Amino acid sequence: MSTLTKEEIDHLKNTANAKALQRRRLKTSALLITNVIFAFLILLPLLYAVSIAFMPSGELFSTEMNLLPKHPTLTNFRDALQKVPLFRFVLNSFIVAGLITIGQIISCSLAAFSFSFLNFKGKEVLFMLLMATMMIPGEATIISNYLTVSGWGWLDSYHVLIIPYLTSAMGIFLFRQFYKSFPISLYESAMIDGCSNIRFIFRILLPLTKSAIGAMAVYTFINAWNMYMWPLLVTGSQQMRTVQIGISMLNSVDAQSMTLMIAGVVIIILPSISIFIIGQKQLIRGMFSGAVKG
Amino acid sequence: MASVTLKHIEKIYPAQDKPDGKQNLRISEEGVHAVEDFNLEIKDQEFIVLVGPSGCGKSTTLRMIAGLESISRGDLYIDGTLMNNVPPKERDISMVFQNYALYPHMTVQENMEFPLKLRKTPKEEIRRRVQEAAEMLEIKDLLKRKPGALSGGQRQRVAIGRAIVRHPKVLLMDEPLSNLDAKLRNQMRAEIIQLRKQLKTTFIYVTHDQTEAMTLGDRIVIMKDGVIQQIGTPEEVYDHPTNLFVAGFIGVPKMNFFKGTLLKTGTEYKVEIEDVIFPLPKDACKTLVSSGTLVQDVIIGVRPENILLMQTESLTQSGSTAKAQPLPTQPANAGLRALPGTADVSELMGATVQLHFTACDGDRTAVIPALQWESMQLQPGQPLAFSFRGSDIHLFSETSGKSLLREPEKV
Ligand SMILES: Nc1ncnc2c1ncn2[C@@H]1O[C@H](COP(=O)(O)OP(=O)(O)OP(=O)(O)O)[C@@H](O)[C@H]1O
Ligand SMILES: [Mg+2]
Repeated sequence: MSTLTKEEIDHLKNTANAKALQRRRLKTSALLITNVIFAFLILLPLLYAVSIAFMPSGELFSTEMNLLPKHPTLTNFRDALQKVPLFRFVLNSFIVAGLITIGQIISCSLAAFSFSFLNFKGKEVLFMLLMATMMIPGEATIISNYLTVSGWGWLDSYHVLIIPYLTSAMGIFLFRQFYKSFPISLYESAMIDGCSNIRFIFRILLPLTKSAIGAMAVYTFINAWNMYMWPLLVTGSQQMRTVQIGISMLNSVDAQSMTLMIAGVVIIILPSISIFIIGQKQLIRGMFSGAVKG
Repeated sequence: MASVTLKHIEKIYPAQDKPDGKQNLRISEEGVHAVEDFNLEIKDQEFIVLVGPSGCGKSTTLRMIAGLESISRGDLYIDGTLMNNVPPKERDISMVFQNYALYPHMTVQENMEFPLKLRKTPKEEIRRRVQEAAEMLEIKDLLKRKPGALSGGQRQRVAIGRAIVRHPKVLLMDEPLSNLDAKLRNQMRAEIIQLRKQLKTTFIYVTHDQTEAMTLGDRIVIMKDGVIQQIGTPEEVYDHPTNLFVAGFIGVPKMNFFKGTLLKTGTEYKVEIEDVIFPLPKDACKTLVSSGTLVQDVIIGVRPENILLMQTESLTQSGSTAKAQPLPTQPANAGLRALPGTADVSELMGATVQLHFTACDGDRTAVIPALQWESMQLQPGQPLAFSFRGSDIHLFSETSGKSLLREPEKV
C-alpha cells in the first residue's frame, strides 16, 4: 500500500486527466446545446417568415399545423416583384441610407473632433444644447420640417430624404465618447510636429478609430434603412419610395395576400441582414472599444 | 540653437475645477495659480532641468513654452521673438512626452519621418536625417516595426528620435524616463548626456527625480506650489540651498534637520543644539554679521554624509556630557562636541553604509564608509554619539525657513 509502482502512478494520473477532460467536454457541449436552443427560439419568427414566403397562399390558412411549405413555390416572389417595383425601392433605400451614412460619418466625426480636441468659448454650452436636441422626439419636429421642405419645393426627391439626416446629435455624442479614450498627447504631439487639424483627422485620428467608424456606419445605415415616417410624408411617387413604404404598399394593393407580403419582406431584409453580418465584427468591437480603460 | 526667456510667466486655471486639497496653490478670485511669477533666462544650448514634487507646475510651465497651454500673464521669448500667441508648430520646438505619444499605426520610420514630411523637407534630406537619428539612438534595426512591437526603452528612443530629426531650436522633455525601470533609466540618462553633446540644442527637461536633475542639468530650477524656490547649478543648490524646502528636496538621503538656537558673542556666532554648542566658521559669521542676524531660534541642517559618528566611551554613560572619542579611522576631530543618539537599522549601499538613528527627538540618517562601519560594530538599539563640523552646517530661520547663510539675492 505504501509504495506505488510507476505504472500505477501513471495510471492514476491518466484517469484523473481523462475525467477532467470529459467534464470539460460535457460542459462545453451543454453550453453549446443551450445556445443553439435559444438561438433557434429567437430566430423562429424569421425562419417561419422565410418558410411562408415559399408557401402557396392556400397552404398558410389551412387548419393543420405546417411550419414548412409542402409545395414550395416562387410565385410569391414573382408576384411581389410584379405588383410593386421592389428593386427600385431597394435601390432608393440603398442610395438614401448610403449617403446618409457617409454624410453622418463625416459631419459627426468632424463635430466630435472639435468638441473633444479644440478649445473655444462656449464649447460646453454648445455641447449641452446639442445633447438637449436628443431629448426632442423626431415625431415632434416632423410636421414643421415637412412644412419647411415643402415650402422649398423639395418634396418627392432624393435630397429631401437625405439632407435632413446628414448629421445627428447621437452620432456626435457617440464619436465624442470614442474620442474620449483617445490619448490627447497624440494630438499635442502632432500639433508640435507641425500637423494641421485636418491632416491630424485624416492621417491619425480616423485611421486609429476605424472600429468606431465601422460601428457608427452599421448603426446609421440600419437606422436609415428602417426610416418610415419621413419618407412616407415627403415622397409621393413610386419612383421615390423606399422599401419600408413600398412593402406596406403590398398590403394595401387590392387583394391582400399574406404570403405575397412576406415574400416582399424577405427580399428587403436581405440587404440589411447582410450589412449587419459584414459589419458585425466592427460593431461589436466598436461598442466595447471604449468599455475598458475609460 | 536658441535662447528662451520667461518673464513673469503665470498660469491661472479657472477656479471651477479646483485641484485636490493636497496642493497649496494660491487661489484668488481669478482662479488657481498653478504657476506664479516664473522668471528665467535660458541661454543658447543650455540644459535646464525643472524639478519639484508632483503638482508643482513643472509640466504646466513646459507646456506653456511648447504652446500647448495658453499663458495667463507674462511674456515668453524664444530667440528674442515674443511667442505668447504663436501656435506650437511655428515655435520650432519639439517635445518628448512621458507616455511617448508615438503614432501606433505608423512604423518607427514613418513616425520619425512624419514631422519632416509635414515641413516639406526634400525626400533625400528626410532619409539622411532619419538615418542619422536612428544611428545616434541605435534603433536602426527597429525602423520597420510598429511601436506596439517595441519595449518601453525602445519606444522612448523612438520618441526622442522623432523629436530630434527636425533639429529644433528647443527640445522639451516631460519626465521622459519615468516609465522605465531603474536600470534602464540610468542607461537612458547616460545616453541623454551623450545626445546632448552631439546636438546643438537648448534642452528643457522636466523631472520629479532630483538625481536626474543633478546629473543632467547645467542649471536646475526647483519649484514648489507653482513658485520657483531656487535656480542654480547642481553644486549651488546642493551646497547652498536657499531654504528648507530645497535643502530637504535635493540630496539623497535627505538632509538632517535639528532645532536649535543661534547665539552671538561680539562678532562670533554659535549654534546650540540640546545644550551642545557648535561654533560657526569665520565666513559664516561674516555673512551673519553683514546681514545683521540676531539671536533667534533656527533650524540646523546637516547632510547625512557630513555626520561624524563616534563611539561612546561607556554604554552606561549617556546624555550630552558623554565624552566622545574620535574613531581611529576618522580624521582628527578633536575638540568636536558630540550629541547622543540611538542606532536603528542600517543599509549597506556598497562602499557606504546608510545608518538610521534616533537623536534629538527625531529620525536621522548618516552615511559612513563601509570600512568604518565594520570597525564600529553598532547594533540596533545601541547608543552612539555623533557630531559635525561647523563648516558643514546649513542654517535656516525657523520662522521663514529661509537660509541665513546666503547673501541676500541681487536681482
Ligand atoms: N486643466 C487644469 N485645471 C485646473 N488645474 C489644473 C489643470 N491642469 C493642471 N492643474 C493644476 O496645476 C498644478 C500643476 O500641474 P502640473 O501638471 O504642472 O504639475 P507637475 O509639476 O507636472 O506634476 P507631476 O510631477 O505630477 O507631473 C496641479 O496642482 C494641477 O492640479
Ligand atoms: Mg507633470
